[in-house]
Amino acid sequence: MSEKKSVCESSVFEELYSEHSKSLYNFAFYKSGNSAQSEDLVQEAFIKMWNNCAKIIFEKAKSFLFTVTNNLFLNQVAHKKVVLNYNLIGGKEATNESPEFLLEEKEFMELLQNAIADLKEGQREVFLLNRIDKKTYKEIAEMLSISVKAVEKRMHLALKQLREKIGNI
Amino acid sequence: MKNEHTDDTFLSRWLNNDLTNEELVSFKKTTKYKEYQKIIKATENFNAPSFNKREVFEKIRQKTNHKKVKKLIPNWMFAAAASIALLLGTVYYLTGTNETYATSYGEQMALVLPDGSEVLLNSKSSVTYKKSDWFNGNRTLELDGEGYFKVKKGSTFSVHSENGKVRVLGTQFNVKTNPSYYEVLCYEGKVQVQNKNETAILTKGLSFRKIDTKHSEKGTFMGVKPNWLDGETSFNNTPLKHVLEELEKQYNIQINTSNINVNTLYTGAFTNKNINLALQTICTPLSIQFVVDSNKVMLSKK
Repeated sequence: MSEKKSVCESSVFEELYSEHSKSLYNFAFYKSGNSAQSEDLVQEAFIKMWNNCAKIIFEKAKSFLFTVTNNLFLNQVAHKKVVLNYNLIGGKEATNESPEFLLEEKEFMELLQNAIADLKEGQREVFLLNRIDKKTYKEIAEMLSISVKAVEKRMHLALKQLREKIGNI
Repeated sequence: MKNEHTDDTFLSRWLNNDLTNEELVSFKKTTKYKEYQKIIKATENFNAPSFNKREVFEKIRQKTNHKKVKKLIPNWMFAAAASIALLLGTVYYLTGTNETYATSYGEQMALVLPDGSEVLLNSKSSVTYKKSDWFNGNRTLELDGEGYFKVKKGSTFSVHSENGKVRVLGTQFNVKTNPSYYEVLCYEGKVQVQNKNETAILTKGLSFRKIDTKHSEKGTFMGVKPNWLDGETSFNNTPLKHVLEELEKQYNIQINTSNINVNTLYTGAFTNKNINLALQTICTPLSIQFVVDSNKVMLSKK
């Protein structure tokens, strides 16, 4: 039997931080659209975990962090439009695209950006966690404490809505 | 095909490559397919703002002081507590409070020792022991006078007295110890008697006796418990001196023996309930007269 990791152990705490802080931050950002607020949420969630470390078993630490972040977010009213950074498609070295194409692409990205921002929070977080953070449906389900089926539904609706908003240009 | 994406998880399955070949082929034929694909492809290029992992961690650190795990009771406290306990324990062990139980003239007392063993004390007797010793499994007590012991099985049980000591494991025995008289009777089991340089092992029905500076004697006796438990004091070839000492203890009297020979041997028993009867049972066979004056008794030859 491997020995149990205690969340109260500094090294374990650091391990959890380095493993989950970024996705927690992204998760908070997809909800709030505010990077400063997201940082605060991450910070608060980890402090809360530290203060309750004796009650949290290592295996449950991740879901604790996401649940707490979610709850903390719900307690905060301020809610900004989610603005994501993006790289232009084929932007890097492939400069053999016509200026028209690039302009068109930029417009498209902005449209998509706005459409994502307009998604319901529940759909947006699922969609972005899957597409950007490459989380599987199962992982997202665990983070949000919902079923995989619910994640799949949100994902489907999110994508459907995005297409409806921008598809008919 | 008409249901291609009205099924509420269809697009999720597509993204997860979970569509069947058939579904995928028909999906690809639709115009929407391209639009979905474009959205998905474009989404790949989004990313969340960068996260200042280090900085946030430093902030968390500051707020939790978490370089060191703060324990409510630091380890050294346990060590300190243990040391203090040990110190107190040692002091207690060395100085240990003594428990003493004593009987006065004519009294008897039954007491239970910390291990559950029983002691019945005859008149003018006392037992003393250190409670701490007993909790450490060291069953030792000091006896002055006479006591009947019913010992619970366990570690060695010792009865110390100025005349020697009796060691047993679990048994019943009687010890009588006075400055010039030492007697041990074993009623059950086996006891070891140590008297100065002598050691004797007694089994059921055997006795050990040493009077004054004479040689010790071993003898036999009958009975399953000492007579004094039934309110009688009995003697077997015992110098009168000791018989009368015993009588003094039972009745709180002073006996003047200046006119008689106190070394006469006496065998018999006297009651502990009636002084006149007791004096008669001793004096009549030995042709001694007695005069009682309050708590003084004068003996003389007939």
